[in-house]
Order: sequence, then C-alpha cells, then structure tokens
Amino acid sequence: MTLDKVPVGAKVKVININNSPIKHRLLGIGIVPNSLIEVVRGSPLGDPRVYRVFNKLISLRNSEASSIEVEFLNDYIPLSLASDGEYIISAFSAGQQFLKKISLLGLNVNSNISIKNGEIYFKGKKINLGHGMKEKIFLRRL
Amino acid sequence: MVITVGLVGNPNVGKTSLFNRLVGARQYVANWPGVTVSKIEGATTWLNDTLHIIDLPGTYTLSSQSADEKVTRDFLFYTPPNVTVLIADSVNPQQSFYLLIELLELNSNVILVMNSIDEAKKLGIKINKFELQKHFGVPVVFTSAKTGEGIDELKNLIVEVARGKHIKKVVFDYGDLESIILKIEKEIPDSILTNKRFAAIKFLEEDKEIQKILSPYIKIDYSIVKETSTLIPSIRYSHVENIIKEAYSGKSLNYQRTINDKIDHILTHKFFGIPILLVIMYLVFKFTFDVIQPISDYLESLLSLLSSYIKSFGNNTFISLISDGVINGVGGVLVFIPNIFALFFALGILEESGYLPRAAFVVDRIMYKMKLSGRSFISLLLGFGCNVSSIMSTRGLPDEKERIGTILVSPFISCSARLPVYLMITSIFFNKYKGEVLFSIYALSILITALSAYIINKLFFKGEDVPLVMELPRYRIPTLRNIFIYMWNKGSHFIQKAGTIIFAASIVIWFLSYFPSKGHIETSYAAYLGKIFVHLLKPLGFNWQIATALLFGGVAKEVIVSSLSMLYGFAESDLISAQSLLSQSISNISAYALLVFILLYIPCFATLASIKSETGSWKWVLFSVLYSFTIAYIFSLLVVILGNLIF
Repeated sequence: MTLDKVPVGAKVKVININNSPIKHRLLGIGIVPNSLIEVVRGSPLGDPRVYRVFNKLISLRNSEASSIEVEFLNDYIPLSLASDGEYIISAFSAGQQFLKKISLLGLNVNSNISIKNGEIYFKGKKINLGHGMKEKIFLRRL
Repeated sequence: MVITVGLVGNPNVGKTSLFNRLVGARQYVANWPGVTVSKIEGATTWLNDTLHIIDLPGTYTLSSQSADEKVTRDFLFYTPPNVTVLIADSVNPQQSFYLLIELLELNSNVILVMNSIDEAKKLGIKINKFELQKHFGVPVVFTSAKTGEGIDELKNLIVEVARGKHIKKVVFDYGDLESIILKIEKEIPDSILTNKRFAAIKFLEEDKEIQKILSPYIKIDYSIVKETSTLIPSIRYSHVENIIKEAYSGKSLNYQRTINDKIDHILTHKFFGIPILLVIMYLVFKFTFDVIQPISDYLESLLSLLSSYIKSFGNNTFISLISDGVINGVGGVLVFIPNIFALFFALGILEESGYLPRAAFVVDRIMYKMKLSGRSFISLLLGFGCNVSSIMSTRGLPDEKERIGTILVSPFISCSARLPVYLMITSIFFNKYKGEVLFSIYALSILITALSAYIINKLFFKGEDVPLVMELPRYRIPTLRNIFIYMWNKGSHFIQKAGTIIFAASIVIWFLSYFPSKGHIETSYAAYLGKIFVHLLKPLGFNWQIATALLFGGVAKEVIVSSLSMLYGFAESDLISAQSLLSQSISNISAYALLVFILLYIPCFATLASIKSETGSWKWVLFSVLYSFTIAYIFSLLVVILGNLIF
C-alpha cells in the first residue's frame, strides 16, 4: 500500500521509498524504512495532506506520497481496510459528534467486533456503518 | 583574525533569527552565483576577532538535488568555512541531528547549537548537554534566539573552535556497509576528492553529482547502490534515535501538539481554510496598497512641487534634465518604497508566525496544474497590486524552478497601474459594456498567467513538478525585531538593485522625449521611434500616437494616459474631446485589441529591473520582454482578425 491511500487519522510504518526526484529529501526529513507516520489532515481540496513524522508536520501531495510504501501497524488497522477476523477497537480518530453517534451503537474503545464476509458483527448482531465512519475506527487484530 | 562561519540547519529552526542575533541588522543580501538562491552574509567583531557569518539556505540533507541543497553542500564541500555551526531545534531534534551526522561526515570544525531552548524548558523537556557532546564529539551550546540566551557563549565557542580546540572525531558506524564504504574509499584516486569517506557514503546514497565524478573509478554492482541509498539514511536515523534516548528526558511533546493542532484545524479547515486565506490576503493587500498609499501620494506631490519650483527658474535643457529627468527618476523609485516596505512588513508577520506554509498548503491543488505550488499563489495575488511587489515576494519561494516561473509570469497579472488606462479606453469605446469588457481583460490576465506558467516550465524545466515537501512549523508569535530586519533587508535590496535601473531608464526616457526639439514631444526622438514602431503595429490598427504612448508606457503603464493626452492634445480629464479624437483614429475592434495589448505587452521598467535583481541575469529580462511582446502581439492580432470576421 502507498501512503496516499491511507485514511486520515491512521498510523503506518514505512517499508520503502521508491525512486523519485524527491527521494533524498523524504529520507532526510525522516521518512525512512521502519519510521512511523501519522496522517494528520487533508487540505480543503483533499490534496495535499499533512503527515506527522517524528513530531514534525510535513505536507506532501498525493502524487509525492504515492512513492512511499507503507503498512498498517498491527494494533492500528482502519476498519475500512480490515479483512475478515476478530478484532478489538483500539481507537477512534474523530470529533465529539462522531463519538456520540458511535456510542449510540454501543461501540467503545476495547469493544470486541468481528468481520465475516466484509460484514461487521457486534455482540452477534450485524451493524451497518458508512465508509466514512469505518475510516475513523481503528482495530487491533485478536 | 577573520573567522568564516557557516550557519547550517533545517528550515524553520530559527536559523535566521539566530543570525540576526549574531550580526544585528548589518547584513548583506545577494544571490549565489548562477542561481536565484539568496546569499545572506554579515560580520561582527567579538573580542579581537572578526566573525564573518554566512547564513546558508535551510536544508534537510547534504545531497545535491535542489538548488538550495546544492548551494549549501557545495559551499561546505568546496570552500569549507573555518567553523560550521549547526542549528538544531531543541523541541523536535531528530531531523536536525540527522543533518548533523551528515555534516560531521563532511567537516569536523562543527558546533552544535540547540536553539529554542526556552520552548523546550517550558515544555518540561530535559536535555543532557554532556551526552550530546560525547556522542557527536562537538561542543554544544544551548541558545534562544528569542531571549538572547547563549549567544555570547556561542561566539566564544566559535573563536575557540577556529583556534583548533574541542574537536573529537566521531565516526558513525554503518555496520555491514562499512566494508563497501572502505572498498570505495580505496578506489577513489587522491587527485579527485580528498574527503573520501563522505564521497564514498554519498556515492552509496545515489548522489548524482558524486556518482558522476566517481563512476569512472568505482567498480560496483549498482543493484547494491539501490539498496544502500535507503539503508544509509535509515542507519543514520537509528543513530539519531539512540542518541536522543540517552540525552533526552522529561515530558513528552503532547502539549505543543494540541495547541498547534487546534489552530491548524481552523486555518486549514475544509470549508473555512480558503476563505480565511482570502481574508488574510485582503488585509495584506489593503495594508500594502491602501493604508500606505497616502505616503506614496505625499512623496509624489512633494516631488512634483519640487519639479515645478525648479521649472520656475526658466526653460533650458539643464533645468528640464533636473526637473523632468532626475526628479522623475528619483520619484520612480521613491513611490515604490512605502509599498515595498509595507509588503515585507506584512509578509514578515505571515512568515514569522508560521502561517505562510499553511496558506500554501490550502491552495496548492489549484496551483499544481500550472506546474507551480501553493507557495507562489500569494506572490501572484500580490501582482494585482503591483508586479514589482509580486516579484520581490518570490524571494521566499524555496524551489528555484518555481521562483523563476513565478517571476516570469507575474507581469501578466493585471496590476493596478494598468487600470486607469483600461478605464480611459473603455469609457471612450465601450461605455455601455464597461464592466463586461473589464471583466474579460482580467479573466484573460489570469488565463495567460496560468498558461505561461505551464509553457515556461515546459520550456526551461522539462515539465518537472515543483515539489511540495514542506514542513508546517510550530506557530510562533512574531518578534518586531525580526520583522524589521526582514523588511529592511529585502526593502533595501530593492532600492539598491532595482532603484538604479529604474533611475537610469527614466533619464533615457527623458532624453528621448526632450531631444532634438527641446521639449516638443510630437517631434521628439520618442515620437520618431513611435513612427517606426507603428509599422509593426499596423496590422492591429494602431496609429503612431498610440505606438509612441505604448513606448512611454514602458516606464510605467499609467503613463500611457498622459502620453496620449499630450500627443493628441486633450486635457486628461476632458473625456469628450478625447472621445472624438480617439474614436476617429481607431476602430472599436482595434480599441479592444489595444486593451489586450496593454495588458500583455512588455513589463514596465520597474518590473524589468526587479526581474534583473531577483534572477541576477539579463537573460531572463530579455526573455520576459520578447515573450510578453510576442504573446501580446498574437492575442491582439487574434482579436482584430476574429473581430473583423464577426462584426
């Protein structure tokens, strides 16, 4: 997966940086294999986005971020990209309103959920979440 | 003894503020040879020595990819200063320490400055100086450019290091790669490069310049180099993290995070981000061109009083030279000064506070299509006030491709000086459709600017993108001291460089309009030139009076109005006689072509002088003149041809 595909709020680990005219600058700024990157926010038009690298905020265009190969941390997988299995909710990356909405469903940090055939089950019941919501829920695989 | 000192550091670590602390306002700004990167130097005496300090462009690495990086690298590599001072950010030191390791591979007379120590203390971060000294093998000093803490200690250290004290060479180990590094070191002939370890490491990092120099001598499987090019930076960062573990303790950085994030949440907000930017730019505009304008107007009226006072002594060549030539020339420079200083005052606040990169971030998507980045948006927007301001503000752009591109297209932004000319022509020819016609001219202005940015990038920079790898620094409260130094440096640069050219051009124009007939403009050399020039403009339907007025418009676009009134012999405010005289001599279609021509044809002298002073080369000035004239001619001709077909 490349960095530009990672949803806002997620944390990832860098695997490799592909060749490009800005490769040296990316490496120098701290985007090296095994370093952690958090996607902080997008600009009003969605591109570029801000990333946190060693506590510094770095803006990258999506075309630039696409030269960076990353993978999710085991305890920080966005629900939108999780494959089938059993999970624990490890974090939410959103504001008050989202938290209210999600707690109405009974979901909290440390809730157990499972995914079967792409459907989400909570306490044995199937629940429906929009893609935007799924991007804001992070899971740890059990 | 004169000690040369190079200041090195990442962007946004407070390097410039520290430089200001060291040398005060006595700074000299120029360009590095061959590029448009600013070279800032200053000197100060300390005890019995003179410290000659060079503020090198901010960089994250010592590779040779961008113009800024190359300037810093080449300076340290080919002409190493007596002492190199690395300025690190105490709060977020990782990237700074990375650069320090690279620097220590290159030079050994290094001092590590831990800047913003006041912020670190406030956040509860504890830094062990002796651990840093032990691991890097260089003297360390804690400073704050804000409070002045540690500055004297730094000056003392500079003198001591220049005399050979304090250095303990530390070699950073690359593990398994050491054998390859050693092998390459051995293969480098003594006559080529002396700093072999640095060269070998850079070779393995795929540094293009070093590879070009060394490739004839090095036998290596290049698939190894592909791997080492990311492995070496990784190893460096693991050194950095180990050193930080040893030297740093106390609180983490969560507090600073939340405050910054909250401000960012508003200023780069999905819906409010762009409106907030526009409001801030409106305020900058208002301040630069409106609030300050009375000072310019006052200066102008003062000069015209002086000029008429001198004229009252009689009418001869000398008096005309003084009153029309010299005073006009001085005036031509003076009227810009309040605006330029006001502009840099406002930009200084935006830059110091940390807002400028956010603004670039917010609008980058729009500029990307023109092969520019969000950073040039602000420069171009300023062009609606004055193209000179626009060009002067490009000094803040970190990428050279973008800087040249922005400088060359900014004259197409319709500046405020062109408005009186549009108003005169539209009220004579298109009184009923004034708004629509003006709108079409401004729309054309934006269109040609965007198109030219694209064309110029394709022509000179092979269509390469301007990258936006950019740090959004912590917000800071700007200090007046830094803003005034910023304003003074950039403003005085304009007076020196652009001022002389504007002044000289004004004298030439006086000469052309005064001789040979002693002030009768209709029979002057200028009118004569206009009559030659008109042959070129015939297809557009212009007559010699218009051609001459356009020549004078080269001085400043608003001069076209007064020139036309002189050449036709009507009072500037007398629209009715202007109407009857002008509408007899050119058609409506040609009048619209004239509007297009005035928008696009050659930049005024002040703008050309700024292009020269900012790019440092007459080549770009010449290109600008030829390119804009060609574009103006093509588009005006299109107007005439299409107009005649339709109407």
